[in-house]
Amino acid sequence: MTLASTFGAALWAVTGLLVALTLLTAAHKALHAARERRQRRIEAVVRPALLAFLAEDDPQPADLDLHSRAADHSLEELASGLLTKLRGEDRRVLERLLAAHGVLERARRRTRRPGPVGRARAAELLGAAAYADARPELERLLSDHEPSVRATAARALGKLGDPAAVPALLAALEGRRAVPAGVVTMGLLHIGPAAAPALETGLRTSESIVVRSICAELLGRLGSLSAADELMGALRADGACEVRGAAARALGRLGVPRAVAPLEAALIEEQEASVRHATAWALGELGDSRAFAGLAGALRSGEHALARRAADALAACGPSGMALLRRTAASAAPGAPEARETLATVGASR
Amino acid sequence: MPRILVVDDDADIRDMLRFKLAKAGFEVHTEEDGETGLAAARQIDPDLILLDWMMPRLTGPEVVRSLREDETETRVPVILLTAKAQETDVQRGFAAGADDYMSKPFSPRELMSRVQALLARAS
Repeated sequence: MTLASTFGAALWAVTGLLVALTLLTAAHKALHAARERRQRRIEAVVRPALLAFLAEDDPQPADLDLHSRAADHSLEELASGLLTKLRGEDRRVLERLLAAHGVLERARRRTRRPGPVGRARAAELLGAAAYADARPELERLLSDHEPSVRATAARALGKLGDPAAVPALLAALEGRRAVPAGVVTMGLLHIGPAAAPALETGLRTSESIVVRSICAELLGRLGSLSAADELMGALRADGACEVRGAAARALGRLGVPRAVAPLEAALIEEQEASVRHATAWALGELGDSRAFAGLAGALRSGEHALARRAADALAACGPSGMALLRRTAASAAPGAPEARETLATVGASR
Repeated sequence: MPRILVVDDDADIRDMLRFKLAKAGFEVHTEEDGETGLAAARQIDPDLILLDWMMPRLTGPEVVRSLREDETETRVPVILLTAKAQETDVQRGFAAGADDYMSKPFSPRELMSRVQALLARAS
């Protein structure tokens, strides 16, 4: 074979390959367009049917008769878009409809899909529909190798509102595949006060500083008054300053009067500056004049950030606190600049 | 038949309200932005307006303010629908001239009750 004929054959082969590729691409595009047209046709039928169904006074899932898998797919797309926009009975109607049409069970199976987008979308739908049966799948996704899937699963678990998911969410805070603390915290907050008993257990028993800190912080944010003793114990005896500080803030948020003495004790005896700051802030939230002596000492500490928080807290303690601030502000004693700053702020806000 | 104008750039919400209100016996007109919503309000003289807050061209409060400036004798009731749920947002909505306020996500059933109550009060 000559060089020219070899070149000719190669040229033919390349041309053939290019033509085949062009034809394949065109066929793929045509198929995709046909699929999209078909989906739009189906959606044009399903959408008004779904909206008419929701407009009924007491719609039953069986009333919406869809005859194909493609229609169910369209229903899933439309209903999951609506779920996030509704609350109340209409939302529950949608949740029941998705369950009755098998959409949620299919989403449960899709949590095992190889593609992360498919797994994340399934988790999102299961959370939006508050499908309690999917808790095991969502808990499994908390250790997914894809970070975005783990975060979606944490958010979805929160939306289930099931306190049984709290231990798994707390466990997701640590390890090689940890979920960001902010995402877990939002999920736990979404569960609400029902999460409190499991958070108390976490505060008492977890070996992780991150977990204990978040448990303490959330118990305060969720207004869990029954956790006050547990929080006072953590403020007094937890080995980690992060946890003691979080416990102090939580006690401030809870506003429990019997926390004044342990908070004042911590303000005086605590070695860690961050915890002293947190206790001064908490005493300000409580606004209880019994903490007067401890706060007055903190105001004179010579440590600007602590003195400023103590000054704010004294302002919240009523006339005696304000009188001390005015005396200090007028003097050259330590704490005078902080007292003046607080008085200026209080004056501006009145 | 009372006439209701729904102005929202979210097609899902617009269409759902259209179906709900029509089923409840109202004549429903929909628009998808503040500018066309304001024009429609001036043209069709609705008995009540459901108005989204965040919309292209004109926001909900801007639409209400313009409507209130136009009004002489009759005052069309306006319900603001919005994802803005802060206390200051609610105050701003009422200050602009809205009669009621619902935050998103919302309950269509609760909204229907508010519509009925406002229409009864207006009549």
